[in-house]
Amino acid sequence: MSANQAITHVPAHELSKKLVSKEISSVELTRAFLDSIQSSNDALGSFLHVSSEAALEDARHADQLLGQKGAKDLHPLCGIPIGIKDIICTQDIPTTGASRILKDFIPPYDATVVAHIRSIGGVRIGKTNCDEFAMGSSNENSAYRPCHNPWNVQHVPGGSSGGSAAAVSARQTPISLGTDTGGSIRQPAALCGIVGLKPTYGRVSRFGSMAFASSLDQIGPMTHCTQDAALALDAISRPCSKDATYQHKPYCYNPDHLSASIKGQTLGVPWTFIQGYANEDVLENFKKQIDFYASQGVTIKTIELPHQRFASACYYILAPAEASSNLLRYDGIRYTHQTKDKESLEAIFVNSRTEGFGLEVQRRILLGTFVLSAGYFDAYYTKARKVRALIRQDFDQAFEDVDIIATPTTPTQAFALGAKTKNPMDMYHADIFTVATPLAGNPAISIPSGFTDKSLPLGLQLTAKHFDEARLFAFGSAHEQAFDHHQKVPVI
Amino acid sequence: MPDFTKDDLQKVAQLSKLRLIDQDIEQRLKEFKDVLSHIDTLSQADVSQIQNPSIAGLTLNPDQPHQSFQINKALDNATDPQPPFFTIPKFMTSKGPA
Amino acid sequence: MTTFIPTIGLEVHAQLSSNTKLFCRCINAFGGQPNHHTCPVCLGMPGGLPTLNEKAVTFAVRAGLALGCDIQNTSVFSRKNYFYPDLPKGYQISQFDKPVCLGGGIETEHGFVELTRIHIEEDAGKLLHADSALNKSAGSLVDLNRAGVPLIEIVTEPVIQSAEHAVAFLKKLRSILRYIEVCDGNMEEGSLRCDANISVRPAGETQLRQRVEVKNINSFRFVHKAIDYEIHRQSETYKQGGNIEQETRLFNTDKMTTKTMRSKENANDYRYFPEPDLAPLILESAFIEDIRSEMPELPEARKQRYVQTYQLSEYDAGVLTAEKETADYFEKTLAAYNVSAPEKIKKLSNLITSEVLRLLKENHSKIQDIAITPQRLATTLSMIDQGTISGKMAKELLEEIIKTNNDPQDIVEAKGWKQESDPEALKKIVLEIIENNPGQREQYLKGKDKLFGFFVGQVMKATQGKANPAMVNELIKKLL
Repeated sequence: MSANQAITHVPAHELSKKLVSKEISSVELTRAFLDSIQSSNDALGSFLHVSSEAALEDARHADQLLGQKGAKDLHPLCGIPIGIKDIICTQDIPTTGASRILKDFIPPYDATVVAHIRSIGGVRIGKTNCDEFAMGSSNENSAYRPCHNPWNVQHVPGGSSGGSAAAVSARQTPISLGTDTGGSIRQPAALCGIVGLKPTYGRVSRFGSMAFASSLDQIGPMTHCTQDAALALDAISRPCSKDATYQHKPYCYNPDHLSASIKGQTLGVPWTFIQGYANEDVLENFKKQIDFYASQGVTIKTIELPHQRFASACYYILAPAEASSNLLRYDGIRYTHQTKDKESLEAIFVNSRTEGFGLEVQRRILLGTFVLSAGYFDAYYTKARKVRALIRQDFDQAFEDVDIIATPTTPTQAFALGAKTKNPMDMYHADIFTVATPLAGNPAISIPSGFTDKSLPLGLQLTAKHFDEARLFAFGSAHEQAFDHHQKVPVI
Repeated sequence: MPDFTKDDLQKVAQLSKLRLIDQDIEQRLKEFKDVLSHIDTLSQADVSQIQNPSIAGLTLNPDQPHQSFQINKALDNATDPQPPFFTIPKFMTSKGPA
Repeated sequence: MTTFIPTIGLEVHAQLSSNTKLFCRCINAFGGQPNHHTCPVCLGMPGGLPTLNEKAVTFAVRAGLALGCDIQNTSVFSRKNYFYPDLPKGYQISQFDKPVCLGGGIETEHGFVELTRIHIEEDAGKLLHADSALNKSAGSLVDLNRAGVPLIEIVTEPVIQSAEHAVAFLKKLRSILRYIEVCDGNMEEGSLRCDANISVRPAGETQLRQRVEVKNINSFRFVHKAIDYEIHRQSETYKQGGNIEQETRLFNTDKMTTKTMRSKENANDYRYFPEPDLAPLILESAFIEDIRSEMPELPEARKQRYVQTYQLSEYDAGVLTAEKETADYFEKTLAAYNVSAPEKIKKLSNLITSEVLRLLKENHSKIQDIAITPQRLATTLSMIDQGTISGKMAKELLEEIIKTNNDPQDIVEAKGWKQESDPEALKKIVLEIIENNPGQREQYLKGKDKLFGFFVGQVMKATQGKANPAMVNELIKKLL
């Protein structure tokens, strides 16, 4: 393994030490990762745009900061490359949402999370591939090209943040940002063998991130390990006055969060629900994780989340409903693709949108429009909001008895490309373990929990109370002390 | 929803400003009805026992101006702008909504 | 011959005069270079999110309190979804089933008008038809400066009974909104716009018939005409056996008629749902009471105060308080004039209502900018009281102040308008006249009272009209 390869395998918090001690410069580090991307992006399709110029500019700026006095007081992610999911706006850098409708869009503004990354000296290395407008569970809905799982390129990386997951898994970047609405950070993280965190709703500002479902979306980090996820959350959860749903509760990194003892805490498992959906491999793997926590002095408790079985139906009403409205702004007039068939105003709207949106996005718009339409609103939308309140209640009640809840992240290992594209419902079932949490707003993390006998990664999902990400980090960190899944790197 | 028809789907498409291509419509209708069956399972949920959650109120922002776009920035991504305007091409404009 | 009874309800959109827009901090101002007050939020760009302007909320609550509404402790923003080029997000953030104000009403000389509700919403941008001087390929031009400007929508119950009633209501509403400084009420600039819902039914029928909406009427005169036209049109249609369909019409200001808007293929289903980017708006009672306690004096209260304190007639007080600026002007002048006698105050009032307001109109100026400042007007009145000029000169003097922008004392001096009020000088002249006209004197003393006027006239002639008339009268009486 060449020196360059070695450096790209190092997790962000270790890279930080090397930058501060001047063992390596940010420019050198960034070049190493750009080389990595160069060598594997054709095969993986993880990046839609590699922003080399901006990356080197950021790296030079970081090196300047690192060269000054007090460099050790800089944020640990100063000088570290960070991949950014292409639904997050980056000023002067193409941002397409993985859609044709934004094929030429160059935002004149940064999303808040990008501004925060820049302000701490982070390096914007590129825009990662994803399902179009974050709608999908396999990255196969990208209008540009599919993304491949670095562990087996015939398989999907998961979605919608497939590119972000693949990029970290393949060591093209140490950290990337994804978004999660129904599982879009956690599921690809699990399928690619990395850590993915969906923060508490309202923890991170959504300004500048293309809205899919406004009351569910959260931006979160995808990393090698828990510590890096905590550092990234610290950076991106900083204050913002441009998102009224941001709760002004920034997460402040504290190493004690990671080293906190988990002994004596209670971990809840909804066994019935899990057994209903997880396949054999997943179930077997999951039991091992529970056994591990039990061996660490954690009390394991069976819990019921009685309305969890309605979570998917609830999600597939509320998310498309909000999305159908959020996507109305893509109308051919101000910054999107505009059709050439412009014989009337109606034609501009219809043709620009039909030409610009992929099939899955169109499906969800139709579904969302339908459940909001006159005559159906009460039966679907109103009902779904009520069920959502019940799902939230289930979690709140469970957390009166337990400190943390565990499930597998996915019902299966990564499936083959094309395996679930014939019937949308097949794909919708992939997120069965992840859809409930965004409905309730709780934070959840997926950590690598091992491999199937086909050498494909699996993930363990841990869910905590609102704003209790610190506990997720403690449980994740404890797991990493005992296992080394997070250090495994696929051969591409 | 057993009686959801092609016409129903077309109406939804019209509201959504999307066009359904005739040759695909059977397939699109089937897919739509499959999802409908899935979301229809919500009718089994008993929603009579909801406790009223406490609502976090809305933060109000002070009435202080910020930096608006430089005009070229606002129009940079537009098709055929006529600075400082966005444009609609010439044709018989349909009137706005009621 | 059937009489048709009209029923009218109004929806008035008033732009709030906050510094910034409702959901972003772009400048809220009329005019301005197109699209120069825009940002990702009001342009509906990807990732744009609304944040609520606190001033707009304060203004909405103030308006609700001034109009007698019940302010709701919890109200909810909703999305109204439809496509149009002046609506950048493809939805308008408004309030649907939980508006911030309910009820309320305004008294007018044609009857009380109940309000249904007031809610907060954002304005849309503007479409302009392209000039042929500009690029010929553009059919319309889009200016989004106005997109996101805060509005309150004031909805009346369908209780208005005539065009006059509607206009009276609108005038009162505009006055109140201007008094409490939440809206400048400038209809030409579009700060105040009115939609009217009009139906007629034959006398004797209790059930209301189909109403028609007439949109975007932007002057009192047009409101009057539009309503009268619609009432007539609908009545005639029914008389000839026709039917009125639900529709939206526009008022054509050239022809003074209403015309159908081209109807859309699909009736709009707005698919209202609660805005997920904004939590419910919770207004604590303390917040509402603070606004109530800081409420500026309302026009009706101010008018009654003038009647009570200054013994002005309802009519005079009404004219003075119709515009806040006029009332402010009156009070400033009064302070400078510094009198308390009701007759003197009445004179001041008259001067304002008959002369100053007329000159204002003729010169197309605002009372805050008029050359006849409160100080100058007060000086003018004092000069009349002291006899320096005759009351008859007041009108000319005021006109001269407008023309020259000089102080009244200087003008009087320059023009030599000073009234002769020196008792000795006048006595001399009166004695002279009496001496020179012995015949008339005798006749007067014999009982021809009319000749008093002759002497007065002669004195006036001798003094070129400058003699102080009151003094002249007194002297002539004494010396005859």
